[in-house]
Amino acid sequence: MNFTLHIWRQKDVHDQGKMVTYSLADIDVNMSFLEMLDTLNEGLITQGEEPIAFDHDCREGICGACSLVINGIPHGPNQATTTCQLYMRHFNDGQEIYIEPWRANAFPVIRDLVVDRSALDRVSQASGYISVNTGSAPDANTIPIDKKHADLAFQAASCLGCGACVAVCENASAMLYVAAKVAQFALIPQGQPERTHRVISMVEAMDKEGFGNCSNNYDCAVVCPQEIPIQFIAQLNREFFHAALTSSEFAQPPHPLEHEE
Amino acid sequence: MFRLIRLFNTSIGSKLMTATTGLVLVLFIAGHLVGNLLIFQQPSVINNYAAWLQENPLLWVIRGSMLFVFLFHAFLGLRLARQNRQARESQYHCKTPIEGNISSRFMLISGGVLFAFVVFHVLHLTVGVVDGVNANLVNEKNQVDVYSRVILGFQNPWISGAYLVALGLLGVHLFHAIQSLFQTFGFHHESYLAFIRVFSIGLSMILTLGLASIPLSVLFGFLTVSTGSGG
Repeated sequence: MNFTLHIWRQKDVHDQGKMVTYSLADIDVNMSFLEMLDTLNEGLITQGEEPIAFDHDCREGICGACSLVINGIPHGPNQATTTCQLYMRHFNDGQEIYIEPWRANAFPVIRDLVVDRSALDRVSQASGYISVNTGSAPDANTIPIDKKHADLAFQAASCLGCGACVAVCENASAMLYVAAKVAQFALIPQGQPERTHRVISMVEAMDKEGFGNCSNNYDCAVVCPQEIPIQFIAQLNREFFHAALTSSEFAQPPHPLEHEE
Repeated sequence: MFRLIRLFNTSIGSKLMTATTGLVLVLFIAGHLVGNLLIFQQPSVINNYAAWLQENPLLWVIRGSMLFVFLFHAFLGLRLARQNRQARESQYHCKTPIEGNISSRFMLISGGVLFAFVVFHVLHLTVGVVDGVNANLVNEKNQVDVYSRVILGFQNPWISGAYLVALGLLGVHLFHAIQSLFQTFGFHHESYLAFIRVFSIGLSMILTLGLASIPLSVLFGFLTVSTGSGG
């Protein structure tokens, strides 16, 4: 298979960056999208050019490291698929393919197709966790959880944190990500003690990182490789509304919850 | 008070406030529609209704509150749109539309046009400076003759056309707004998602078509000043 690739090249954070066109011939139909880029990079290295930088890790569709906006869609045209699980047989011979990095002010481009997604980590660090005393692991099944809530929490917890929701959103909003993180703990007993503080501080951390607002367009759930549904965004809105109306924390100026030594 | 300020400064808080003010505006439009439809009765009915509104001691309180709600809703919309634009300053070279329906992308545009329309509408039928000829009509009871004034105003196809265009945009704005409102307040369950969709389409169509029925009836000659005085 032959392809014409238009790829975003950018030296570093400060570089303006531009689209560069490459022609690629004799690609096997069973190559993955990332293997196709590997092939292109081998050719570039042979010619003495800089290879194209892109994120990847497990290449099994579970780590959330790969990104790439392919022909305008994060993770490419297939639903419920990460870029690494996209194969060249999903494209037509001779097709033009545009490959761009996630674009959001909260995700600065570090080089070519690699962006800095640590903004999502900082949002989770704000309170996207439960506090547990160290020691031996507690016995399994000591806390009853009903099956429906456990399943929903598991679905929310399957978020890879890849950032495709931010990349596709016309407002570069991280609502689906934050919603999944808030819901996964709000649905289970272990998440209850910090539930109110979690939703307040994660939403405020999200705003501070410069993500946009949710316009209820729901593109995020369509491109999410884990198919996280938008019902979690409604739950986030609900959790936040409840915390804002009823918690004493929300009546005070924002401050991070300190851990006791 | 700090609670409100803190809510006002967060993204979800802004959306909750936009939804709340929007809900008030939807209720206002619904009430306005019911009042306006009195034009299909005897002329005296809407004229008496208008006189009752004018004499109501709460008139200026309600006008002031509605103005505040309207301006606050517009301000929040503009602020959200500005933040959204700032969240992505470099655009994609290749764009593929995915799910978003057209009305949500046009909330700002439809909202802006509606803002201008409301100013025009108040100048036209409340202040009466757009078509000055009809401004000082009174009926035999010395009430302001709202009935004739509306009909004579809408007989100008340019004015009716402006109203119809604005009402079309209102329908698009409301269709996204009403279903968004449920999501923003956290109502989302598959057992009633279909109801919310039908309700949003239904309510925006009832409000839009109900209001549009007045200029359309005048344009097509179903409502005339003479049918009124005869009936």
